[in-house]
Amino acid sequence: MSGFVTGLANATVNASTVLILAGLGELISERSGVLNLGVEGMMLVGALSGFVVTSITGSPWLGLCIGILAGGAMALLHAFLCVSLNSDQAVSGIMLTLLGVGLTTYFGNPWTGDSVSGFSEVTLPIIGSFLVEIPIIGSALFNSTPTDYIALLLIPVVWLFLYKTNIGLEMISVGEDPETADTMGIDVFKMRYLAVIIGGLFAGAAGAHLSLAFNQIWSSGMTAGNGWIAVALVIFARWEPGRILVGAYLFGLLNAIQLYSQGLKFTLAPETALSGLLNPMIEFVMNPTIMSTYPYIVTLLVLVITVVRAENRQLAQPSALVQSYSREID
Amino acid sequence: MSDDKFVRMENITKTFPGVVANDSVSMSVKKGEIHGLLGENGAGKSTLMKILYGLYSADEGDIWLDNNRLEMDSPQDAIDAGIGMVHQHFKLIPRLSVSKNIILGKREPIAAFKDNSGSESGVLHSLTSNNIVQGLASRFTLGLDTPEKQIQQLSDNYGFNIDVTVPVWELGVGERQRVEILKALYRDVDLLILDEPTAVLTPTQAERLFETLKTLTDEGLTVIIITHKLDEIKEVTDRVTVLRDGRDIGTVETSEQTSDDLARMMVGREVLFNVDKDDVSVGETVLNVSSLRTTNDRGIEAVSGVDMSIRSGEIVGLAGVSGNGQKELAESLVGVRETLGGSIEITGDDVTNESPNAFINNGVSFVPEDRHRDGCAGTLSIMHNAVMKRYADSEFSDGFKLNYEAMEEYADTLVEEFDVRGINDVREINAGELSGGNLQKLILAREMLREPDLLVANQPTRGVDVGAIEFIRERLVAQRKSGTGVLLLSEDLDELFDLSDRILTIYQGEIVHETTPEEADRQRISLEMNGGKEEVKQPTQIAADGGRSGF
Amino acid sequence: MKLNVELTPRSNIPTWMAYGTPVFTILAALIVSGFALFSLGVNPLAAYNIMFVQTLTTSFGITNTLVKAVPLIFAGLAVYLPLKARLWNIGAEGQLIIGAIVGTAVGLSVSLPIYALLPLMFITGGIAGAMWIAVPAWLRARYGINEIITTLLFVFIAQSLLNYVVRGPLQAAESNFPQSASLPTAATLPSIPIIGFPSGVLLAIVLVAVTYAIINYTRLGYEITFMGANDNAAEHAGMSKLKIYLIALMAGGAMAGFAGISEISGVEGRLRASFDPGYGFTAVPIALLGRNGAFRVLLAALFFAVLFIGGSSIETSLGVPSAITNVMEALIILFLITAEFFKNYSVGLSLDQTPTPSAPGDPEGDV
Repeated sequence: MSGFVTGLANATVNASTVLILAGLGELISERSGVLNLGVEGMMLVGALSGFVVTSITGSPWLGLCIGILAGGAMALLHAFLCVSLNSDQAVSGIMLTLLGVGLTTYFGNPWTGDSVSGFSEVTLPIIGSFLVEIPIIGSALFNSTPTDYIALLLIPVVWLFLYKTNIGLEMISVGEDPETADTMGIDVFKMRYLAVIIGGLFAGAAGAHLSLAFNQIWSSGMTAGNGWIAVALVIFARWEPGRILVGAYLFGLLNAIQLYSQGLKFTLAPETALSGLLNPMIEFVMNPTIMSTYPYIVTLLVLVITVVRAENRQLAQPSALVQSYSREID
Repeated sequence: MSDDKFVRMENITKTFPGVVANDSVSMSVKKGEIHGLLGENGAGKSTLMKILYGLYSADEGDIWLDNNRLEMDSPQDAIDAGIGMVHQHFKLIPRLSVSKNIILGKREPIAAFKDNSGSESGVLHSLTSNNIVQGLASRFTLGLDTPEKQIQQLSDNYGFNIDVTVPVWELGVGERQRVEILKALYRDVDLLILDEPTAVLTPTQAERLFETLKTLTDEGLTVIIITHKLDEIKEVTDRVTVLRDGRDIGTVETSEQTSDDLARMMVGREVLFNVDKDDVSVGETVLNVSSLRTTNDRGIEAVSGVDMSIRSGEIVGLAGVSGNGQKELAESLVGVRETLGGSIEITGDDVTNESPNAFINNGVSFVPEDRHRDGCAGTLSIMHNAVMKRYADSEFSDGFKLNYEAMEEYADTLVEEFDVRGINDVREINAGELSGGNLQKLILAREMLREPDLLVANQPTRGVDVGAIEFIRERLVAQRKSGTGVLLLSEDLDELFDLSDRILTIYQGEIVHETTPEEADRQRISLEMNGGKEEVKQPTQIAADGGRSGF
Repeated sequence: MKLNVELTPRSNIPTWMAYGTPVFTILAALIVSGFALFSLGVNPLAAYNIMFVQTLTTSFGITNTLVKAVPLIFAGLAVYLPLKARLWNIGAEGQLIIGAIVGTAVGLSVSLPIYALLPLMFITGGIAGAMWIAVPAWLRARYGINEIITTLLFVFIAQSLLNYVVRGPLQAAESNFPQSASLPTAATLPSIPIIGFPSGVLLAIVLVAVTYAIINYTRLGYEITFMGANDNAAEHAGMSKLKIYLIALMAGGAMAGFAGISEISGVEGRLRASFDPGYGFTAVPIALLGRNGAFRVLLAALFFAVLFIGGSSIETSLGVPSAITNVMEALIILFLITAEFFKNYSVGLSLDQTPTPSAPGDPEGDV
């Protein structure tokens, strides 16, 4: 049983890194007021470029860097369209996802199915060997690839960035009320560009993590919707970095259960009166495919509760999210 | 007060598509004076000051501050030059605290890295005062502790009575304005520009403001105050520059002018706003409101038990300072705002909490305050907008289908009867292309020509050129004669006195006073608009203020 | 010295721009994609020849194009209708899937002659699609919750549901594959006799005409257009936001449902786990291209159909991955967006000694 739980913990943590990275990036972008629906495309671009570079040079770190930059480059385009041209943010994002999928499928053809030696699991120096011994979560958390550690580290970093730096404060203000921020002398365009590009860098990292650490292969569409989950995750986390971790683990757990519970069935004893009625329902609810919808349903609920219950001023959503801004135009 | 021209704006010209906002305007301000900028809506005051504050760039002209020529591309440049602006619509972020709102954009690093020159020496000091380190520290740290204390100190010094650690959404209107002033003071400005600062204040709050301004100018600050209110100009300014239609008419010593002189400068001709009002016999009750209560957009109670009635053939004026519930009252009378309690009857039918449609079908017409947001669809044609309230009538729709020829004819009729200018084809021109006055006339045409029983008009002459204002007022009176009951909400007491048969005063969501123009005492109404008693400075006043004074 | 970008808002759009935009964006997309083709050693002109000319000149190509166009037209309408009310139905893909599931379930379980069964499948598929969007529609209408996110979330739920259904309730009895049984002939969309065109095309064109008529000639169309232009004013006019948003979105959902069932009934023949056509997302550029009229949506859908058929042609004949069509799709959207910007502003570049960037201004109001 403990082997099962440990395995589940392992799978959860493994599945969560992608979401943490992509989610944090999307959070930063949305905090500045720009919705980025192109995460999936940016992740793919990061995954492919990271994979290719590592295949050629043999260095996963170089691959990771290039993957990160690739995501950032796509995000630059998104920033240009949304911030400078005031284009519809949703359309631009979807376009970038399409572009990412198309480009990576097209150019990634030769590498389909190849594998690469990317990041292997390591323990932290000195304290690592002790931490791994912690029951259940020890091997899950402390025997991981470098990108897993980086993702965890980034959570407090992003929190500090948003709440304890001037740039973070300005970014938040730009996402709340760009007109006011502009009047206070803040460069709204620069802040949004910065936020969107950071989002892209993180997305690129998430993708590179997939192809270099998580799976160490390339196949087209390997992000498997994780980019979209990241968007949902940011809503679930109500735009707070700390909750991204919680959500990522939750979504990762649901994902892991899918893999692990193929053989598991919970049923009531056949003799009880209600079992005939309840068993099919329980089976349905515990069906792995059905369970994969739970992250989305929960996100929907969170979204609804946040909006419906909110006293207007306390809306968690950045007030200027999805609205484009340009000076002198009402 | 020295004679130096501390601020000089010379030959400023600024054009927007279709309108010359500032036409070679020149203005100079002396150091330490309170300088008024006077003009009607559309005269160009706001534009001129936005140029001074770096929000707009002038097409032509120069700006000089203390004999330095200023090149400003953004508000940051203005801030750097020592210019601060308190806007009509507050530039505050509700989610953030007062102090965070104030330090926003200053990029102060935490205390350890703050550039304290002089007292320190040695390696640590040379390390922290290095440019690169300063740059990084100002970006990647957040200096809040010391500034917060300083801001609180500043606030207390001026008697502002604000806790600077609370988020702005907890504050009321008067307090938020004080935060705006604090913002400027904290940045050590030399010039403070205030844009229609009393628009959302009660008269007593306005007094407080003026006192504060006088204290500040005594200490060397220079103030420019934009306003269209003559009594304010008279009360607080030393000199005043008058703008009209984008041009500057001149700068005068306030003490040497009467209100009439100033009004003439603003308007350019003797404007006789005396509309001929016939005696009309008042008829049946068209509107009966009882114990009405509603909330505003922020969920706070805005209308607190209003009783009133309007009869056919009378104009009832509603006086009050913006933010006392009149907007919410108007909206609930046309069905656009839900009511918490009480009842509304239109010509005897109870329509409480019915849909806007029910109100429209019961003969209610509405001229909203914000014509672009609520009164028309700017991207659609004049024709589409003309039939906005009547498209379901049998005249225009036959089952599912629409009769476009009839709609076009109707639109032409509206345009013609109400002298809406600038339209050659009602199908081709969009409503958003019309000027303020013409759009307002179109909306009025639409609302009036359907022969309503009740017409609610919220600031119908605001932002409209003088010629259109006269036209609109005449039409209101004509509508009264044809039997409509009119509720007129206006910030212009003269207008109310001129047009109304009865005048009600609203304060904090209640009708506190009722009178007629003949019996009315202007002073009394002004006082009633403030609750009829002096405002006492108490901590609890913040809560009362915060709840009631609207936004 | 500084490079100055001067933006002047246009008061009207030059005619050449208004009509030429779709053409220019497509040309631009083709040119840029040409580079991608070139990088694989393929002659772009040869590729485009196969893609477009061949597709449109062979009866095989034309028939395939029309078959492909059917779901695209429906999906295009699914996004176009709500867009008229300024609503984004990004989740058309999900409604499409649900329509496919329900329609297939009906087709497999009800035995009726074809002239009754097919309409029944379509009606139930359409209703299913409308139901699938109902919750996001209500959330938007009642609470103002952004429909982009909610409809998108429902897409993922739909995809999981599909997975569940083909491995469970609808799984073909005799096989172990994640797919349903084959639809009987009575449930299959036939070709029009003699001409050989798929009959779904007729239905699609009829719906285009109906949409056009509704938007332009009916009261409902007036209300939808007005609500899309200014929802505040529309409410002041007595129009019910709830009613219009619900109708616009659910009509869109029904269209998407049609797209789904028409694809299963006319092309796929059965429901598979791998059913992931992406029409719901392609519908976005289609609706954007056809923004100004339902018939333009039809044209745009036809164009994309040619694009897709052409794409698989060059895959088989030249070995070019058909993903190039996705790239083109994305490029078309990209150029459409940028064109939108140029339609609103004319750009002037100049070199200046003294930088005074005059940006466009606020035309009225607070002067």
